[in-house]
Amino acid sequence: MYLDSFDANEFALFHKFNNAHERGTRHIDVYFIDSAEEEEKIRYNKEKLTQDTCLQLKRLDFQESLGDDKIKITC
Amino acid sequence: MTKLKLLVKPTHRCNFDCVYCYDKQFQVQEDMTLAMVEHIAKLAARTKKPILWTWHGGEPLLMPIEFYTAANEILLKYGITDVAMQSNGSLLTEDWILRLKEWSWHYCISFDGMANDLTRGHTEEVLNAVAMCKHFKYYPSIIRVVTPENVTSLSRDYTFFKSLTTAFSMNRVFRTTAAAPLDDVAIAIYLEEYVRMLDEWINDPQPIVVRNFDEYLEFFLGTGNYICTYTGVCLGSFLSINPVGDMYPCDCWYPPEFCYGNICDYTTLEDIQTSNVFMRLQEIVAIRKESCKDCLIYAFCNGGCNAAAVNISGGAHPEPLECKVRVKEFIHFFNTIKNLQIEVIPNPNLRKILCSAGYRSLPFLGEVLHEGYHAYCEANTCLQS
Repeated sequence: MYLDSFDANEFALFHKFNNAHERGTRHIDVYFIDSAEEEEKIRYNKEKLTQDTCLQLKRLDFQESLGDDKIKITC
Repeated sequence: MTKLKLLVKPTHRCNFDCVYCYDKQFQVQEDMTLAMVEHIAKLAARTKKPILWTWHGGEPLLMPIEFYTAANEILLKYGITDVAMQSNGSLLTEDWILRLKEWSWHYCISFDGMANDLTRGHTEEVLNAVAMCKHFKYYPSIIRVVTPENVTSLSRDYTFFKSLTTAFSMNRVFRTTAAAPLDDVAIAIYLEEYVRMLDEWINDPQPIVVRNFDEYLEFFLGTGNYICTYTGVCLGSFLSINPVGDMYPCDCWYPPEFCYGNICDYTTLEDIQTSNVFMRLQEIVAIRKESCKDCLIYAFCNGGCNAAAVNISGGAHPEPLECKVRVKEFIHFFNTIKNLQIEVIPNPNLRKILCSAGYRSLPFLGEVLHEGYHAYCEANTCLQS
């Protein structure tokens, strides 16, 4: 049961990058996934979400503020 | 644009005697007239907001079918087409179902599941009504109130409701002098049941909608409005109007001093927001929000239900038992959804919601941010906003 364990940093990070309001009009065009066997769709979705996450990171301009030694963005 | 949700009570009469009913405290004996319906509709049409008109009560089906036939004409005349009815379901007949269907009114039944007899009674009548609805391909949703008496059957009710409806929501009992809240023992049981039900829902390949879960998702994914209790802007978004036109902030019980006055004394609904009662409520909400702002779920809960707070502390502090439940519910829900792998989730509705929202799990974000993941979330104070 997860009733007591809460990591505020995890929540902040999750909410920041899963917040449709913050993404505004940026549309993410991904497939609906019906099963784990749809590998091509899963790979495509992951690529699109990675691109969008990177775009959000760049817009947030955090990378520069922290320096490359602290953040290694894989895109 | 946020809807203005009108909760219109054509009667306070009721053929039930539910253990937790707060509506019984209202002493209005008269039923609503069509002239009153017209006045409300006229003022609603003048607002700039879209309107959701919900017939509430008392039991709204105690009003004759002719009343609603004429009322429907009035609503259409004023362009009000988003209409619902909250009812106990016991008086539903074939004729009613056909009319409600014809008018495209959404119908919602209050029904407490397997333990319904403990809190509401009339179980057989309601189940017959639901079966009749199914026969006519009319699908009411269900609201289930969680009380100390019926909390133990909550998770089993998920399976039970699957045979009756396509959507349900659950409300914890509203604390008044007429109804006991969930105590510590009942809260512990509730949380166990909640965990069990969420788990069952996520792993259900043929799920029904559980509005409470959808609304949590909407908050975490930032995709829409969510539970009225937690919006922080319920004032001005809800308006309850009783049979004689007296207006209250919502359909939950408010003491008489929180009556906005009678709708016949207003020429626009916007004028309510300059009334002394509205401004007093705004002040109360501001005080409560200040007292809640350091809570870890403040961004979600916004100080919680105004009506519940007014009843327990005059409004300056939230309902403390509710706080206990909310924090644990919130933490559990977040910890459950933060690491999901969409493609292996059995629930297709959940997969769809997550795909549509561009869901990113924490492991995915960790991968994208690579080893700077922890430094990233700890170093950026703006993440906390």
